Amino acid sequence: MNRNARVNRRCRIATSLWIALSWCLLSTAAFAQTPLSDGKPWTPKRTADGQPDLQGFWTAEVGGTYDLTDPRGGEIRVEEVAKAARGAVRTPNRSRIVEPADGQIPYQPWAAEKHRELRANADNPRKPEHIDTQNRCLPDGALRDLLHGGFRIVQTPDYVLFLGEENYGFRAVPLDGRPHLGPDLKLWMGDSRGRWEQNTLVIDVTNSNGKPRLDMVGNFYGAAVHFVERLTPVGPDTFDYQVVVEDPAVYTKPWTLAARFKRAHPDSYEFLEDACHEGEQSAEQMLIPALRPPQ
Amino acid sequence: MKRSARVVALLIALGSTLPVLAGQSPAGTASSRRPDGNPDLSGFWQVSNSAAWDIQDHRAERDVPAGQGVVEGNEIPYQPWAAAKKKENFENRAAADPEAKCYLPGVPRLTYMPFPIQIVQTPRDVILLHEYVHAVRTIHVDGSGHPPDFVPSWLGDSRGRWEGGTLVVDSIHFNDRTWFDRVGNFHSDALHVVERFTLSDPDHLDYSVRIEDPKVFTRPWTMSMILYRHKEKNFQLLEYECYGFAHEKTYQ
Repeated sequence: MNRNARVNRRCRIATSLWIALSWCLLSTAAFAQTPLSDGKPWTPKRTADGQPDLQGFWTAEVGGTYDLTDPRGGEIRVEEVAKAARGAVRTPNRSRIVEPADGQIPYQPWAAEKHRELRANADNPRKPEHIDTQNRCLPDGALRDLLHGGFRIVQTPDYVLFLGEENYGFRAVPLDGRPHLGPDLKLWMGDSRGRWEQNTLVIDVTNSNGKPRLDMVGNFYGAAVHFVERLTPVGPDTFDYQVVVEDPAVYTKPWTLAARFKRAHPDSYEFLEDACHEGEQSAEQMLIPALRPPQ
Repeated sequence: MKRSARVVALLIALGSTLPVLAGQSPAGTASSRRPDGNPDLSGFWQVSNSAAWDIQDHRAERDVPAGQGVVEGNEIPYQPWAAAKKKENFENRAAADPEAKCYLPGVPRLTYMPFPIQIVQTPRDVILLHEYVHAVRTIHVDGSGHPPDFVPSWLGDSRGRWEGGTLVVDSIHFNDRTWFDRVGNFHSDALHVVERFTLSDPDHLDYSVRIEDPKVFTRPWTMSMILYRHKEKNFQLLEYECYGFAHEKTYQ
């Protein structure tokens, strides 16, 4: 199935006709070019079995999953709060979301309300559900697993593997065209199926349990989520990533996120152990008012 | 027995049907050599025993199958103080077993947890992806040695080499926080593990483990068992997010 045919297939299952029409026009235009590529022709080297070679260690050019719409790592948050207390006004970074054009996730009204509450309580949670799933060492799920931190790609003739540096997250993506798991099998990481379209690795992710958050400020999806990820090498040490996220139970229309990834280490690099849950002792303490940082 | 324990026991019971399934399946071919001439261990593997509960001979109990021990000679040569410690562990096992807290179960217990393992080989390493708590274990086979200053860790530092048809894996730099099984068999941070993976035929992987720990045992001792290849059509790893169960209702 070619790219536009796939877009059209999604459009046919969109819940609202006018939303579908406007989104299809926009998304078809967006897909016609790779937004972050510099446009120069690039022929990636190949693996022994002929796949474009994406192997190695990677990290997002703008790393971290504090906020998809104002991307930066959570570790700088304390510093930001301190600066804000001294009157500093920071300029937001460019949203990772490239469609819709306003850079915002198109939540349905109930979902927008839920997100507002989660965002408002992200730094100082008052209920267990205010605590980001990542703070509890729960799996990142698709998309966030790549933006979280460093990861390694390994390719075999049958699989593309994503091995995360943090909390051992991994995805094994079969390339053999097998169908997705049955709909009752829900997974934190979802169920990934890959295929190559020329130089682009296309990964279709379904079967999510809908529980991993997208970032630390409560952006979220549900169990009906469907990700279509596209990884395209645009240079020896760079690939562009684009993912269309669709969830008719949570969003008014699909949205698209784009990010560029850079090679992070030589191939001889070795991950150290990152046993997250084994050392996690602070998530519940976030709910204790006396332990909250000053506002 | 805790609910999680019952689930694990059920999975053990399911695992015990694997040899039958494998025997019935005509599908699945195993090319036994990689381009570099080494055996190809890639695929999906799982033990069919209850060693994760008790590596020695044990009777059945509710939701736990009986099992013949995987320890050669069925004797673990504890030093006197360590034999007393093992007895104490046994008495407190329901809460004291680190695995009951969903911690990484260490090496070699991770290999004989009753969950499938996907083995992936590259020219420089052998990667074990585990369904159990999405653990990943990387065995470096690039000729490198153990780093001298390595923080003690749950899965240690593993360096492998090929000896004929056998992958020999030497692991050290462990912490002292994991057990070998649910009944309290344990080690110290001086643990030194040497594992041997040998394909006896395309669908059976002989797995032997030499355990050395001069702080705890009077001599080295050995476990041996078989890993069986999963040959079911479209088989894949699923998830057992042990500590995630407690949070499922929080994140609806």
